[in-house]
Amino acid sequence: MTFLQKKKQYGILFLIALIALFFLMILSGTLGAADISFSESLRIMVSGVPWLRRFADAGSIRSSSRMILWNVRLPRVFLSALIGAGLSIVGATFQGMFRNPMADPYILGISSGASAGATAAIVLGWGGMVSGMGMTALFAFAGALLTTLLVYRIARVGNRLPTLGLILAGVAVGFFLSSLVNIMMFFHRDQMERIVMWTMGSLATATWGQVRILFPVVLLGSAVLFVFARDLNAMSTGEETAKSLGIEVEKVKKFLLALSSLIIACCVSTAGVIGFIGLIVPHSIRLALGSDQRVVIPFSAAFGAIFLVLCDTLARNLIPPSEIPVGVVTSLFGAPFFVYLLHRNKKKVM
Amino acid sequence: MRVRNQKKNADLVQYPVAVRGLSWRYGNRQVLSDITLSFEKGKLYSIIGPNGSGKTTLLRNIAKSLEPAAGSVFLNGTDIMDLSTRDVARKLSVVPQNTYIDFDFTVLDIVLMGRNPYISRLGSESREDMAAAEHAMRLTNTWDFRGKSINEVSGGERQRALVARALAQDTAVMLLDEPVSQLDLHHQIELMDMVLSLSQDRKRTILSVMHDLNLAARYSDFLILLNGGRVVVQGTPWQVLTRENIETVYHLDSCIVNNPVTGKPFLIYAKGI
Amino acid sequence: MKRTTKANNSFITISILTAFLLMLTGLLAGCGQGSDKKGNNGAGGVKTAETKNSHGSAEGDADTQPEDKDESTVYPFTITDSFDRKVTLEKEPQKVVSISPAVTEIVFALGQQDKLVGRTDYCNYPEETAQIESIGNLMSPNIEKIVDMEPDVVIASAHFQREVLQKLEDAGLTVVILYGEESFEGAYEAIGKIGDLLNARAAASGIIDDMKTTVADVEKRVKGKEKPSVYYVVGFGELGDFTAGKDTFVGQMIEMAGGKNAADDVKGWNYSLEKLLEKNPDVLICSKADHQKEQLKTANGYQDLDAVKNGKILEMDKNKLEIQGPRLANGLKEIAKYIHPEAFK
Repeated sequence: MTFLQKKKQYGILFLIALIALFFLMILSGTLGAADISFSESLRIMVSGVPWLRRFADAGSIRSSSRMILWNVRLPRVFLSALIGAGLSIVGATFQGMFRNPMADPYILGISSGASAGATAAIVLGWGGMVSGMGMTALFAFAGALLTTLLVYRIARVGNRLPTLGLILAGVAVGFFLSSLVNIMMFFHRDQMERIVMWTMGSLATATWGQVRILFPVVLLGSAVLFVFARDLNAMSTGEETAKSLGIEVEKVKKFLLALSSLIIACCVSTAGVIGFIGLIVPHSIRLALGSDQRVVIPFSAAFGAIFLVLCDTLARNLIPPSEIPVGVVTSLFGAPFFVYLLHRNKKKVM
Repeated sequence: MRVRNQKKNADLVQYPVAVRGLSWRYGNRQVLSDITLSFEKGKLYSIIGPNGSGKTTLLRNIAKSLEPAAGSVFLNGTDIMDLSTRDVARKLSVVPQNTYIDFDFTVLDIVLMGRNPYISRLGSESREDMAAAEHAMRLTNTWDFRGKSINEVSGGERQRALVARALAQDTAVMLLDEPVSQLDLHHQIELMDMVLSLSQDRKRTILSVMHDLNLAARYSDFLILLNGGRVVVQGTPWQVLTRENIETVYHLDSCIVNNPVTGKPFLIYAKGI
Repeated sequence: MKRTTKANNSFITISILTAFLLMLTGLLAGCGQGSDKKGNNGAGGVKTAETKNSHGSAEGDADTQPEDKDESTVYPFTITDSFDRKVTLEKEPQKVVSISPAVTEIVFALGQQDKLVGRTDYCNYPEETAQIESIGNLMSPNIEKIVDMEPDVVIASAHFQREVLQKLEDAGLTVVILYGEESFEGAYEAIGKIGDLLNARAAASGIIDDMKTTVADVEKRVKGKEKPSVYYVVGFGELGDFTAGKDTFVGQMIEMAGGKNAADDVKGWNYSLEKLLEKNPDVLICSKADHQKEQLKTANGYQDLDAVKNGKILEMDKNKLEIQGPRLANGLKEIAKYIHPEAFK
């Protein structure tokens, strides 16, 4: 069965996934450390939507509860969904581009770059806020993009961008930047906890401002990446083959690299380094639904969002009031699930 | 940067593929030196020669995978460097050597990729594309396992699927890089029979890099013998496969006989010289 | 096209170089300083400027009103906190959340614990803190929980992140960040300010006076006496050897208590085992928690120190020295009593 013949089925399945995501997000909004009942949270959420306001009266509920729901919980739920989607889509794209089912969004050292940027900001004491965005976030963003540029420069050969060179350069630069981070941590032991906490990833201080930035980036970015799905399909069978099929391989690579880096830089600078999602979500989708990027990309986005919302909900509700860093939850819960999938598909393993 | 000057070279228009003064080097090594060839429409050419003679490199230059150090490749008189990747893909298709694909695509998906040059980025496969794919697959006897994963089918079937893809690409020129080197005897003959029929029915020009001299002789209209990056001799199989040429290029003593079944020359190797 | 690629190249190279230079600066800044301590980093650079600011603030603030020591606080009350923000409390706060062990201790000491509705996991003194609900850890407290408690004021300290502050303010809460330099003056200031905030000025000045008296008494008693060398054990073993350097508050307290800080040849917290063995201090101070005294007796290198062999190890509650609160004076006295017992008969 090919993509075309199954198009309708995929469409329905995707819709179901989106609906599931929606309900999961609502459910997540009702769970938290604060003492707000299920019905209260529902009423607050409904009354907050302009068209639905008349269906629920939230006037009797404490204003602090409403504050918590709208300013603390919901931005967090939305941010998780967006970041989960962003990371998964870039993972899917990289897996196709590098013809490596084990590629993840951080394969080009971008996470080390972001960490180095954030660490520099923390260590230099520039912890302030600039127009709503923390300096740490800005520095992390800059670090991520600069790393991509550096890796690109190192790997580039004339007009071409050899994929192997990219990966090797990414690994090398990644190691170097990690060492820089370690050195900075060593000489500022007192800041070590802060730096490590940042690196482990957290969505605790999610704001609507961040959601507003990430929403267009992830949505538009995903749409554009989806448009290149056919190109990626051809490229995953071999670069020379793809070229003989009429694809401007080098141009496409550069473009996809730039766009992916932008998406990842935004995600990582906002929430730290959340690992594992970008690897296992697309890979799992691939194991379940096949390698056609026109299927893998949208479903990775949907299930990536679902997965991270789930993990974040767990992260903040397992041992209240303490929070487990979400990056820890993704690995702890994602890994066994992934092993299970691999076990089921032993024949098809890579 | 080359200006897209699609001015045609008048006297080369008649040739689907023409090579003039082509040279290519890899580091210090001169792989191809001053190759000049003209390929006629509808004929089946085999490029033969020992390892390292530059056969595959020549093919890759014609396919625009490689850029010549000197000289040019012309498609119907237009310099290939002046054509976009998409334009080239509409004129020229490639069947690579059998390579393993890490990803799980169905055979039909793979063949449909051959329609890529005709589908805009924002568009999707049309009925026409599906028809072209089906047509190509029926010709190559691959339609029956179109739903299987490309990695599940046998080597012969996979190779035929790749030929189907090149067919679906609907090009005037088809390049094959050692299409049968990995196949067993039965499948070798089966595939070459199919390739031959394509050439005869379709007015399609076919260039094939071949390892096996006898197969090349049996199926080709013309042979091009390369050695050390140069064309030693080109012509009909009887013209090229002579005892002297084999001795010079392969350092083998041989005997050429007439294959009673095909009427083409058949090479019997005696001993090394 | 060749030209633009070249220009592109240089631009890219320059930006990358600049970025790495920035990082190297951070690195060198770390090597040079070393006096960046736990309390004072991460929230804006220069401490001295901030302390000066707080001292020289305009009227209407609590900071310079020595004669009104026993008067009630007048609300609305404005204070300039350590992030240099002017924060106003409309009326006397009835519900307070503390995001700092020091703040929690001070609130209890002022007798205002009934107002305390939230504290961190690390607030463990006095014992009664266990009865108060926790809001998580210092650096990333649970924002939902804090908002849910509907506090009139949230008081935080040094480890506070700007992003958390932002979120709390977005939720409409009043937040005050208080920390001063690590010294007795800094502690007095913190106690005084919290006293102002919670309308407990009398209690605050009482505590401060007691502390000052104790400190003066200690200094008088140990004056002129011979100073034994004292080494303060922060960490040892596989993770490295750490102590309190000459620019740290603990280092200074050792001097005030009539001792000589064995590690006064370094700034910051790093030390080397070899140097320690060379110095062979007379007294070691270690933490009561984690059974450090026992561990030291068998630790590589440490077991050969005279102080360890002779059992001259003061095991004490480190929080008396490291939390900028009311127990600092007690901590000072404890050290003094140990190294100059004859002065306290």
